[in-house]
Amino acid sequence: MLYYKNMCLTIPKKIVRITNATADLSDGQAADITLLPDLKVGDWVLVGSGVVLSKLEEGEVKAALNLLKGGTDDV
Amino acid sequence: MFSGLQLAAAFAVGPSKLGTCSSSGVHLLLTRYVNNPVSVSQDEVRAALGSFPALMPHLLLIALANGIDDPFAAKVVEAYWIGNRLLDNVDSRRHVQRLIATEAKRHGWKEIDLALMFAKTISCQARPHHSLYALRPFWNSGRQTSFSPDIQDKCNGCRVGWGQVVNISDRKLTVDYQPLVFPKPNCVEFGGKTTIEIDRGFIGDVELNDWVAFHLGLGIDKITKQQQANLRQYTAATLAVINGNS
Repeated sequence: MLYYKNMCLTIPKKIVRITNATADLSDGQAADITLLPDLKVGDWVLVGSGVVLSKLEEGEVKAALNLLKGGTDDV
Repeated sequence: MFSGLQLAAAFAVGPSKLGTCSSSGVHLLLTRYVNNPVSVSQDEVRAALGSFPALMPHLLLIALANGIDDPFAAKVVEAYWIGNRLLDNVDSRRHVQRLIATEAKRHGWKEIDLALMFAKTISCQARPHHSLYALRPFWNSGRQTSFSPDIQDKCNGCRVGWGQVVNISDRKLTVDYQPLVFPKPNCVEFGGKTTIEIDRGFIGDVELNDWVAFHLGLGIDKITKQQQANLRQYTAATLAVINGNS
């Protein structure tokens, strides 16, 4: 099996910059975005093994923001 | 029998040793504590476990939802890693909002990180069991429909595994277990029975046919038949959530 450093899959990270196939993330790390080439700055993503594995759905981000506002409804 | 803090430390040794899910290599400290709890201060161990960004919020959430003061109470730790009825009492939205309000500042966590950590758990009415987060990439597929074998292996090793001992040596155990399989894109299931060799880790006296739990290939503890049933039940519930949302 292959394991890589700092790959906790539970913590979404925000893309702050994209250069070619590499995204700079909100935690200061960088990740390969080859699997999801349509990502853009501001997207929230899950990273494993130095690779962006998935993008959080818009509804999930809205639901999180709603949680912070004290809302009672899911988006 | 492990205390809650010992059990939490035991499960954290694997990721710490591999440098995953923790920014600091605290596995030696944790290992020492699991093997000899009087050799290390509990405060040190609690601080070390606090460096795991997902662990503490989950333990605190389960404790809060059940009116338990200590997030390292044995039942709380067991609920997160193995699964028990405490998970069923997490009324996610209300408790997550309380968690954010009361714990974010105290621990220096970003509120948005906590909200994103739990938002989908709430909307899917899922249980905050460790398996949900070990398999999260498959739950949050976006446009990605298939993952490479090393990612599949990683997720399989990250979730807590269990099996029945079929061979014992000084440092290794061979166990019958069911791996997770990925038969098609966006689908995770239990596979057929196979055997796997694991490091004996923290498992002391053990006999053939005992049930054991392991994490990242490291033996954690013997588990009872009830714990084995719970681990399977809550992992199966995670798979149902993931596959239902694919």
